[in-house]
Amino acid sequence: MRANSKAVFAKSSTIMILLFIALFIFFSVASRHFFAVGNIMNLFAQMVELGLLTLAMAVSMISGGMDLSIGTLCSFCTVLLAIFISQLALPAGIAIVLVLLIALLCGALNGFFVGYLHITPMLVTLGTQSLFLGLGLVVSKGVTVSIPIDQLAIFGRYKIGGVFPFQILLFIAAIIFSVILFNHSRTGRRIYLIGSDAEVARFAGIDIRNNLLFTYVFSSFMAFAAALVIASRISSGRADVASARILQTVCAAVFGGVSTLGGIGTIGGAMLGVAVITIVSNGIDMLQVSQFLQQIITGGMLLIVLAFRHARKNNLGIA
Amino acid sequence: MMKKSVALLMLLAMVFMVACSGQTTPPEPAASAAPAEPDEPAAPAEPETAPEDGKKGTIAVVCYVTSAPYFAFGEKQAIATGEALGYDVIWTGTPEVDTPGLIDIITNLIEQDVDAICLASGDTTSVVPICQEAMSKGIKVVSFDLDIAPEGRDVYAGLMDLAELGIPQVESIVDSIGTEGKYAIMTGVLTNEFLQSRIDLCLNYAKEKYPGLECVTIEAMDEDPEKAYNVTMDILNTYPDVKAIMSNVSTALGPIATAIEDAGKIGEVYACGQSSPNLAKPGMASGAVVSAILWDTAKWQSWAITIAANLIEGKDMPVGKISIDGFPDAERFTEDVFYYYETFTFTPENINNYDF
Repeated sequence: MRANSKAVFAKSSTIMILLFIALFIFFSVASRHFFAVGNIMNLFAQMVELGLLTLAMAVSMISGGMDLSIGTLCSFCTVLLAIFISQLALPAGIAIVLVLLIALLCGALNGFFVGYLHITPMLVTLGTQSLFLGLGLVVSKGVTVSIPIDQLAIFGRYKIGGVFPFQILLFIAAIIFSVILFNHSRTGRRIYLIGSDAEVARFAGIDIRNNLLFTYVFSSFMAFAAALVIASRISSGRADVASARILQTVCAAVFGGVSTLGGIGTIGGAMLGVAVITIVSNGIDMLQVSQFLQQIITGGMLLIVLAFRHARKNNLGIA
Repeated sequence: MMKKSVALLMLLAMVFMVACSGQTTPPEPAASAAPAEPDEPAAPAEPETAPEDGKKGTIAVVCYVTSAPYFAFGEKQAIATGEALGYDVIWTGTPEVDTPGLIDIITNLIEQDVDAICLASGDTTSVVPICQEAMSKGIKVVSFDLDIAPEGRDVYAGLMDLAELGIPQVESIVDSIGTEGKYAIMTGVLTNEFLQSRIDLCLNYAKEKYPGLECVTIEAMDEDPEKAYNVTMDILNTYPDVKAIMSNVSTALGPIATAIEDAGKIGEVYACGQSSPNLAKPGMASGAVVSAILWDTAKWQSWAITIAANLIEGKDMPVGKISIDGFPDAERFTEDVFYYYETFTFTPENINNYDF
């Protein structure tokens, strides 16, 4: 059964890779602007924010939950970065460390409620989503807070050799770190088991509380990393700047094979989901097609992939 | 199973081709719309990729909430204006407020070598870095609707100093109740300095030009329609002789009109001032509203495109009153600010011509 399940998702990854390649070829042929060095670099740079937030979402889903607070936490972090650097005149390095600590504390708050108090993750993070938004609005007084344009530039606007966006390297490092942690370590295997069946994990002697705490702290770390990139790109912080990304992260993770029921899916798969969604967005811009159609195409592709996956499960006799 | 996978991919590819093929062909130029000839055309920078069909170039209109009727209403007119001036127009933006998404779209437009970007942004600073990148590549950046920080754009194509919208707001009171009577003001939030300055202008203008008008109270609806309704009820009870309640924001007039209707005060008290037409329509139908003001949002997009085209072509536009087809009262207010001074008064006769 487990082998069959793995077979389904290995096949899904293959399909996602083929889909990405097919889309790449299609957009290259259909748009004279798509297959250019500048745009290819943009394409990968545009994956970074959604990708980091999807890493945060995917691990919470694998653990059997769903962290709905990562968007407002990320936004809150951009506000804090802006306040610390612009209004309190702290050096960027100190501001980054302080905001990181606050972000991890916010993640620990989620993890405490989920792991120690056993409250449904979606309800907890629905509450903290509102809490972080409120904190961001209070601290920023509801307005956008500027960051001097030369500050934090490396995280979102610096291009190596004038061509290669630096944030892509950050993103690659985050993916490698996450893959090692969740797909090739004991901690990762425990979190998969908790997500798959918490009761079985408990009988296996796994410390569910601390593993869930760790999961949500990890999510908050990725939300913080996304905040660094966003704050750099927009040279400012705003309390709702990443709020709209939440549903996209769920979509990307599910697209990539992460189950909303927990315990199933891979980091690599989720990143393929990010890649497909981003190439659709970029390619449609290049074709000068309505953004509204982009929503329809993304939704349609998601349904087709889900239907395909369901059919494969049935063929393999997986419940 | 491999066959099924290949079939799925082919299906998806076909869906894309069908979906995209109808959208990529530039629209036919309007036969009656002759491109405007520049007075002293400067040679525009040659883009990497020349526009198709002998067009002068491409202008992008980017809005931060394309799903909002306020912006969507202007798409067709924006494209038609571009066509008339000899440009392809890409009308795009984020369906909902999503600043990183908006920046991605602008990044993609830079990659497409557009000649100008007309931008309506949700805030003044977030888009500045990407707009600076666009300007560094020779793309003209024209902000419209709400202005952005000056360092992020070439010029602002504005309607007018929006504080001065207070003047037609007062005129809408006069249209509703005449030059004498008591009125109340409903504003957005009392802490907003911009809205406050507009109220000051309203009060001073009314005092000078219509001394028979008397403001009895200024209340805030805090961008909450339900609160606007409740506050209106309070005003009607507290000031039984009030004859008009003037909205200082575009979202309050609807609930004010509903409250007047529910209080049985149709014909005795009027809602007036600023409103989007769709919010004013029920009040116009019930008789609670006879005059409301805003601007034609579609024409504002045309204005931004026109200014962008003139910048691309290097037209001479000296500071002061300028002559631009379709914008008879236009003015280059400062080096980097243009106004066209055209507010719009909605009445029961014309309101159904607008849908936003």
